[in-house]
Order: sequence, then C-alpha cells, then structure tokens
Amino acid sequence: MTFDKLRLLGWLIPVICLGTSGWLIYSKNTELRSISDVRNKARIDVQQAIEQKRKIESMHSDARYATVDVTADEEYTFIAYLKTAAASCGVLITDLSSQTTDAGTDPGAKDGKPDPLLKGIEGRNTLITMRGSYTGLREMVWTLESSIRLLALSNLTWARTDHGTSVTVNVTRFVSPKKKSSS
Amino acid sequence: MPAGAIECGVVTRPGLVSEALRSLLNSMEVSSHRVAIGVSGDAVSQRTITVPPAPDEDLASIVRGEVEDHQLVKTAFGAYAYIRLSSECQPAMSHTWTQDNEIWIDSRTSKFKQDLVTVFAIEQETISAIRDAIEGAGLTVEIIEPTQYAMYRSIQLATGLNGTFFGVMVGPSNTDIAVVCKGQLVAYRRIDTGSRAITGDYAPTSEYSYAGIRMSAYADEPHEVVNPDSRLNSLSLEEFSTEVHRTIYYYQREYPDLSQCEQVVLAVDDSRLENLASELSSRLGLTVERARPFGTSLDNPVDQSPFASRAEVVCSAAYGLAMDGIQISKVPRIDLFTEERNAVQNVESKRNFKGSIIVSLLAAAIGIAGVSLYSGQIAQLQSEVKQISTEATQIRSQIDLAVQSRQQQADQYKAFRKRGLPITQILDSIADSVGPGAGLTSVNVSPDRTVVITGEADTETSMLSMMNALNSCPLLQNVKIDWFKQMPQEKAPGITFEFRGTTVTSAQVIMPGEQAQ
Repeated sequence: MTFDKLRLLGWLIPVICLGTSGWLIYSKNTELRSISDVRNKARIDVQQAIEQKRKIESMHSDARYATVDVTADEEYTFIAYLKTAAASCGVLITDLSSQTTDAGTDPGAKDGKPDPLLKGIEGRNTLITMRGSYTGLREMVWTLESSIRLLALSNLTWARTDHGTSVTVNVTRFVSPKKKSSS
Repeated sequence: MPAGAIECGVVTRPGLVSEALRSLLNSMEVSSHRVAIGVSGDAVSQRTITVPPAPDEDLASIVRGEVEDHQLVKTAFGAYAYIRLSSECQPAMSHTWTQDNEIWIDSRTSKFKQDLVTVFAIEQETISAIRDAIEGAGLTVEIIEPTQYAMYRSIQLATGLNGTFFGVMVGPSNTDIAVVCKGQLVAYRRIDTGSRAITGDYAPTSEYSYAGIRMSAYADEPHEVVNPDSRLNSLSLEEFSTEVHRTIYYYQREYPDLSQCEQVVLAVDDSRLENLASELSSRLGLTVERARPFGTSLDNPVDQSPFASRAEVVCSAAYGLAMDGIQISKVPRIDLFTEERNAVQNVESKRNFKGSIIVSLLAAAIGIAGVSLYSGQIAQLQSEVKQISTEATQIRSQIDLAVQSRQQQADQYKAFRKRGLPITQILDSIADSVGPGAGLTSVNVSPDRTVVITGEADTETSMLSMMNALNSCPLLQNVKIDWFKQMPQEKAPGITFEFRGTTVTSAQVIMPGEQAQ
C-alpha cells in the first residue's frame, strides 16, 4: 500500500464512519421526534375522547328512561318502590296483581308488526288498587307518573265510596332482556 | 561550529550543531525553516556503474539491484540516489570507464549499448544525525545532497547552461570531476585527493571506522609545505594534478566533442585553495578558472567586491544547494534524504492511519450506541403510541355505544310514552271542572282513552255547566252525556249523570325531565 493510498484511506475511513454514524443518529433522532409527536398527539386525542365521554355521560344523566335491564330482583325493587311511594303519600295499597305481556308491538300500529326498536322488550303490567284521601291518591298517581323510570299508567278507576276514595290503576313498566351498554 | 560537533563530515554531536544553527539563523534573522544540507565526500560514497538501457521507470529497480550487489550501502537503512549520465556525447570507441573495479572495460565488441549511472550512497547513521541536528534546531530538511555535487551545480550555473567543460569540485578528502558536454553531464568520477591533503595542514595519522565506513583522521600539524607562497602540499598537489590530467586526457581522447575542450572550472571549499586554480593551470597547461557563481548568476548582478571574491571561493557548495530548486538548472536533484523522509512519513502515515482507524472505530461505536439507544426509545414510544391509540379507540367506541344507547333509550322512551295516559292531569282537569251544585262519584279511564265520569248534581244546569267545563279542558275531547236521571224521592233532591268522552296519551303532555330528551 502506498503512502498516498494509506493517507487517503486514513481520511476516507473516518469520514465515512463519522458520516455514517452521524447520518444514522440524525435519522434516528428525526424518527424519535416524529414518533414523539405522534405520541403527544395520541395523548391529546385520548384526553379529548375522555373529556367527550365524560360530557356525554354527565349529559342527560337526569333524563327519563323507558327500560331497565332484566334482573332477578327487578320486581322486588319495583314493589319496594311502590311501598315507599305509597307510604310517603299516605295511601294504602289494598290489591296488586301482575301480568307480563310482549311490549314489542305498538298497540297503535296498523300493520301489527313488531317494532325493531322495541323488539324483545317485555311490558310488565301491575294492577294496583289503593285507598286513601283524594290528595294522597293524586300524589301517589303523580309520583308514579313522574318517575324517572317511565311507568305507563292506564285503565284508571277512581271511585268515591262511603269508606273513602279508592283508585285502581294499571302500571306498566318495560324490561329489556339485553344488557344495557351504558347506564 | 563548536569543536567536535562535526568530525570528518559526520555530525557527531547533533545537540551542539542544533544550538549553533539556531544561534546563526537567529542572528541572520532567517525566517525560512526549510534547509538544504550538503554532506561532504567523507560521508558519501560515489560510484559510476553500467546498467542495461532501460526507461526511467525501470531504472530504479535495476539500480537497486546493482546497489545491493555492490553493497554500496553498508548499513541496514542507508540511502542512495543516482543520476543517469547523458549519452548525448558518444565516445569514439565504446570504452567505458567505471569505478566498479577501477579498470578500463573494453566494450568495443559489446553487442549491447550500456548506460552509465552514478550512484551516491550514504549510511543511515549519518542521515539520522543530520536529521536530529536540523530538527533540533526547529528546521525541516528539504534535501541532503553531496557537497561536491552541489558545487557542480554551482559551476554549471556559473558557466552557462549549454557549456562544455570539465568541472573539478574539491572536497575535504576527495575531489569529484564532472565532464559536461553541451550542458549535459556525461561522466562523473572521484579521485581520492582533497583539500586537506592539498593544503597540507593536516596529515593523515590514523584510520578508523565510523558507521562501517573507513575514515581518516588528520593531525593538526602541517605535513609538508613545499610552496610557502601558496601553502600547498606539493606531493599531494602533484598527485592531484596528475589524476585530473589523466581524467581530462582520457575524455578528450575518447569523446570527439570534448577533444577541443580546454575549459576547466574549479570549485573549492577552502579559502586557502584560492590559488589552486593558477597552480593547476600551470601544471596542466590548460586554462583553469575558479567558478564565480555570484558574478555570473542570472539573478544577481556582477559583484566584483573583495568580499564577493572571497565568499565565492568557499560558498560554491552553499550556492549550489541554494540553487537546487531553480528550474533553469539542468543539474538534476540528488536527494539522499528521500529514503529517510519516506521512512519517517511512512511511520507517521501508519501512526496516523492507526489513529484514523481508532477514530473510525470510536465513530462506529458511537453510531452503534446511538442507534441502539434511539432504537430502544423509538420501540418504547411506538409501544406507548400503540397502547394510547388502542385506549383512544376503546374510548371512542364506548362513546359511540353510549351515544347509540342514549339515542335508543330516547327512541324507546318516545315509543312507550304513547302507551300511558296523563292520569294526574286528567283527574286535575275533571276536578277543576266540578262547579257549585255538582259532585263526582267515579272516574274511569279505559286503555282505549275512553273517559267515563259519573256524578251528582243539584240541577240540570249545574250538570250542563260541568259538561261545558269538561269540554273546554284540552285533555278531554267530545265529552257528552251518556245519561242522567232524577235521584229517588227518599234521597235528597237532585240528579245523577254519566259523561263519556276521550282523552289524549301521555305523549301529548310534557312531563318533568322530558325537556331534556
């Protein structure tokens, strides 16, 4: 190997090594910065999504709903609710009978076909006979009617007798067989 | 120069030489750091050898072989340099006089033409001592040339570029004779009589060996002075003039172009040889003139001052060395420092190359480490990004499901809302419609929205008034009298009645909480 070649190689090899190393480190640094930016953007997206979810969850939290998921203690919970409401209104529930029907078809629909929206939903009818003062009975009916869970009242019989005032009303609640995805 | 610093042309104490050079150059305020060094014939061996005709690029290897064969360089790292003698002036007969064996070689019958090469050789210790001395003075060796060869350059510059002459260069222990024909060096030989012997100041007292070369040591006392006026040793002078005459006579006889050449130019290194030219002229019967480089240099005006005259006696070698780089000179360079310089450069180059490799390895290691570290961080970030993206996707999916569920709940609520009746509002409307003289007995609201109201009234007017009030209620429609009849006589006077009408579904009544649906 001649002196000139050795000298040339003496410059060339370090320059190539330094250049290659520098280029590799630079490219990796650029890649790292790029991925870091992506990470930061992803974090911002997650924060925005969490905020959006929180807003959606907090929004309409007091909105009325029609159905609840079917559970083993659904009826127990409802009866307990009735007793609590009656006690607070000062009325006496003298008679109660239940019947379950398919609520998937709108009774008002002309074609009689089940509504896809209501498919599988059960309508649990409870015929309740209560006795008490008119004011108490009215309060009781209003409590049932304005419950956050929709209770459809129908088939009302209000009568005044010598022993007081009695009300018989059919209360229909709706139970969904499928589990609700969100409360 | 301090005593003992240089002995017999060899630097024996480089430190003293360095100090002396540094002091000299400082006093002269010389700024250049490049120096050309002349080495006297004591330390430089010279020989003319015959070689086969070959181009310049092949001549080097041929000469190398000849040098090794003749053992011109005796030590391991000695150096040599050579010049190809010109073949422009051809001899009349193909005689060749070489110093290979100091005999005449009759090549008249030779079938092949031979080239002549003069080789100068120097031992490594001599060069190293010079280099140590020069570099110790902070200088850089530009070239190391034989002193007598530098004198030859000085003579040629003084004589003219195309001159034909015999150049006689007297060194301390020997004398070189250059035969120049039309500016071309055609022969170069050495005779073993130098200025020391001619001046007679020093007589050889012993011989010793330095670096493998046999050297002569001289006593301080004059050996024999025959001519007191010139202070020259007649015996040595006679021997010297005889050798010069033999050489000139030979070349005049053998080379037709030189037969008429009677110009002999003398260059000496000792001021005591100022009259050697006249002595030699009288002995040879030829015109012998002393080289006057200062007076005829192309770059310098004629200077006839006594100082110049004295200086040019001893400065012809220095002048020749200084003129080494001039392109107009036809005297090629003889650089005995090439091997040493190349060796040093080679060592430095290898050292630098090793350094370069170390730097390269460090750079590669840094690069690998950097890439590895960055790759680890990048992989970690990529994993984090993937995890965050998955989380974001899940949250957005949950949002979509929540929105969908909300919408479904709203739609279901809207649908089921129709199935209920606004019982409280109906009761309130009916109660508000009961006027004076009227009362309610029962209210029945059937699932088909039929409302049946029974009651009692004092008069028909009160009953009709109540019916009108019921009809003005927005929740009740088409309220009509089913029947009415007088109550039995045993009871209080009055009538009983029954109204029948229709009502609306709960969907037409806004309930609390529905505003937000």
